[in-house]
Amino acid sequence: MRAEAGDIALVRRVQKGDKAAFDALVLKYQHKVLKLVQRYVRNPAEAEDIAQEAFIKAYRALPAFRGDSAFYTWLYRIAINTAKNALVASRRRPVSYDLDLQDGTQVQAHARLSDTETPEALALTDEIRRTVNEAIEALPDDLRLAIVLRELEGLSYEDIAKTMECPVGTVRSRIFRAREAIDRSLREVFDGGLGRIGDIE
Amino acid sequence: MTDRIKEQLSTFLDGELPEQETALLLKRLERDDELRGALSRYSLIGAVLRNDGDVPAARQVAARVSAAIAREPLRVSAFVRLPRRDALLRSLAGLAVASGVAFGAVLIVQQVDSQDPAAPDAVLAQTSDPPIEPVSDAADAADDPARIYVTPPATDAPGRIAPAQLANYLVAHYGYATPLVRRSVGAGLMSAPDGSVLVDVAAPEGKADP
Repeated sequence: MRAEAGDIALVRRVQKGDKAAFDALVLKYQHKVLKLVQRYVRNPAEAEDIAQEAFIKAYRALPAFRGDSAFYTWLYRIAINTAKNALVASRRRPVSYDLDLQDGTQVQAHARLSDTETPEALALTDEIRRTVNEAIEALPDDLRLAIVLRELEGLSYEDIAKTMECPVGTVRSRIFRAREAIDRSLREVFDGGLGRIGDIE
Repeated sequence: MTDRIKEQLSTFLDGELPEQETALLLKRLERDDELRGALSRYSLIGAVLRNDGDVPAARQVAARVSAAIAREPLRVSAFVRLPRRDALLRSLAGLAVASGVAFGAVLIVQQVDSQDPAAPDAVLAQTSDPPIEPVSDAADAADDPARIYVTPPATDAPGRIAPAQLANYLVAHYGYATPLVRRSVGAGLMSAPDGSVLVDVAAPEGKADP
């Protein structure tokens, strides 16, 4: 898959000393890692601390990463271990969920918020989900199909081009325009009082 | 931030951006907070779509990790080494430089050797030795290429370097020589059999005493 190849290319850059490449990996995976950590630690601030620690551990361990598994699978293992260690350190028992470590994206999404989550965090999370879904529905068909094939089906640009019978450059443009349209709606959410745009990085 | 840059960002997120564009985009990401924000939101959109559930928006994770990583020592993997071709080219380049320096030194020594010892203070660059002209016997050379030769200029000098001329040269080029060369050439000078060394190499102006 091209996305994994892209991750590996970034990893190789980090291994040569390019810190900006690791920064890009953090920006790419921070939400997923945070979601994973919150299966163990519900408090948002604490979860962010653990996610941060997991990324730093990953950075330190990255020189030894050979690329035998996908980067995100390796990263998720680190995140899970970091979360478990944090729980042990705080003498709390982890929330039990079935996590498929072979595929970090297959995290069950049925966990709901606990008492430790703030009303603001709850409202922001719900608003983000609602906004993204509404924005997807409002997209023209060609843009919606392009981003769904990419994000949900995981197809490469080349495969999407074959499916949609259009050039790869058109696929690239459609996916970007779809993201940009959804992002415009998201920015309105963040600017609208639930959170400032600068808070989301 | 232009749409072209954001389209690159979108393509980069999907791992479809060519290597050269990726390198430029990463440099831009380092200093463009707006671009970093866009990358984070694009990835959030994907996470929301894929998980169809609650995805928390990371507020400070990337900024804090970035700050922490900036304080970390550079970590270069043992698995990442110079490509063999690059290493070979570097070795060859070093060898070529060393060979060039050595060849130049031999030519200069030959020139010094050919100068008139009666004019020990002459500056090497101003010598007016007759030019060296290749002389060949065309007829013979056609049969035997090894017979092509160079006639050295006529000189009464003995078969060694004139100490004062070499000293002048050494002083003039002292700054370009390695310590080892300075020591070895200097020692050679000081041990000249006729003891006619006329230079104080420690002189601040680097000029030879007559």
